Amino acid sequence: MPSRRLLLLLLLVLPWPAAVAAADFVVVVNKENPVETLDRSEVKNIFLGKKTFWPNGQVIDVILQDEGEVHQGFVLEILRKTPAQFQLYWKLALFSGTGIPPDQQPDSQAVKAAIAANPKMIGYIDVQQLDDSVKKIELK
Amino acid sequence: MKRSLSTSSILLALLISPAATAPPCHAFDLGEYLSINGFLSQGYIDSHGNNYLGDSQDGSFQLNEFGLTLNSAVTDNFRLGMQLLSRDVGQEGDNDVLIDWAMADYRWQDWLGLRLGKVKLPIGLYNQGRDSDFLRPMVFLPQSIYDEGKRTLVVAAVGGSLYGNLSLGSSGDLEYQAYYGSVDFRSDSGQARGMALLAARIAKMKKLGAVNDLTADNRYVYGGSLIYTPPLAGLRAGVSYFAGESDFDFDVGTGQGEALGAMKDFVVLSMEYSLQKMILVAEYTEQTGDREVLGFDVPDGRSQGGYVQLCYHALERLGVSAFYDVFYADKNDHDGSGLVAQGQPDFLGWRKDLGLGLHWEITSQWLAKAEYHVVDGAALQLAIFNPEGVERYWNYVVLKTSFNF
Repeated sequence: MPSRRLLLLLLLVLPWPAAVAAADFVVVVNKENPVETLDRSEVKNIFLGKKTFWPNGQVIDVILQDEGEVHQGFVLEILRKTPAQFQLYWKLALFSGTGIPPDQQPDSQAVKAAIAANPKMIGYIDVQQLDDSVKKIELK
Repeated sequence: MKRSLSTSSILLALLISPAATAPPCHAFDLGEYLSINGFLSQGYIDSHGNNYLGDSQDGSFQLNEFGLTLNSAVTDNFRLGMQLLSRDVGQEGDNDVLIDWAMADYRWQDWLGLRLGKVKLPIGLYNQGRDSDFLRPMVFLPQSIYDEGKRTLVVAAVGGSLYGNLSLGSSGDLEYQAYYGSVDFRSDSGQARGMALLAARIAKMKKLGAVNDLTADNRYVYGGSLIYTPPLAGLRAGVSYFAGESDFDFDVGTGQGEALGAMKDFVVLSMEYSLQKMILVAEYTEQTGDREVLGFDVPDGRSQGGYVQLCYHALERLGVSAFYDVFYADKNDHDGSGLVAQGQPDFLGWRKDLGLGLHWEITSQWLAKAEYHVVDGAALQLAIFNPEGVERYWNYVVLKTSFNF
């Protein structure tokens, strides 16, 4: 096996990224949304694209957060996946034509702003960032 | 080979360029209505004992894919999408750019959606993502189920599919897909080359002359899948079914010849259990071949196969994987005695592949893999790549890297 070819591929080595700690989160929707509570399994199915309609028939808009403590806490506890597994789940949907990954926002403030402007949207934010611009969903 | 090396060099250069080392980013999002994604993969395969997929005993860079994916959300529950795919996998693909899938997708309710166009086919847990290297821990999916030689017939079909998710309350949920359509064959596909080889052997037996200019025309494919997700976190179980039938026409001697090839009752049973650091997968399959070539009823049996695969993430971005994959051409003839009676080696009746691999998620978009396989047996049309004869024991090494955005 030519060593030059092997060397090219071995040059792909890079340092490891650091792991992040999980943080407490709350699931939130627009204040006009009549939904007050959701089963954890329903929330899981919403973020996996399996449940796509609110009870009133409107399509659910899902918003994610970029990788970080809040995102890690949410996907580990509710979706029972690591952030990498969750990302892979949506990449499979994207590249096999079975779905489009949800949009992402950089932090809880941006998620709140997006949800406050969209009655169909659901997301998760840092529990410390909860205020009356959005409505907290009670998880059963 | 010279042409493909040149293409490979370009792909490799792209993969190690500054763009590939940039911080993670997302698709090129052109507003609310169009997003563009894509991927590039380049591999190297070196085998000993037999050629695999192409001239791999000399070492080959003919192992690449690149795709460009366009999606447009026309309304909340109606979207248009398309993926262009170029691949060169040994003797197949030649880096021609083809439409991998292209569809209109309307989701009416959670339990019912409709896709029309060219749709990927759900066979086992991983067939729909088989062309995206970065979606799996090892370079090749287990060949007992995801046989590269049958890829063209099973990867996608022009037609339509129904799909949906049925909530079972506290018992979990059930995803289904059902499809009907037809497949475009290429002359370099495993099916076409396998049929050409078989037709030549039968023509020789009947003293009819040489076989040339084989063309394939798929009549239909249909099937479906069910995937059950129970309340137990990380577990899913599935069953899928596939059937298809194709016609083949060719010149033989100074006349015309024809053949019929069918794949019947291709069933896959699947189980995946995923924890934070580990994924355990087991799948089992049976399928029946039914071929008639130049009036000769080929004695195809019902094949049998399956594998167990374990992937463990020793570090956050470093995983080790191992699988043991077994395929028998005839479930009632595991020792190949029927082949011996036909004057062929018994080891054409099985393929047992022990694979060990490492995969490194360098970033969330950039992956590198290295793996080693030891194989006993030469089933699954290995003779196509080894016209001088096949060996029973062989092995191969694969290195591959992929980037996606």
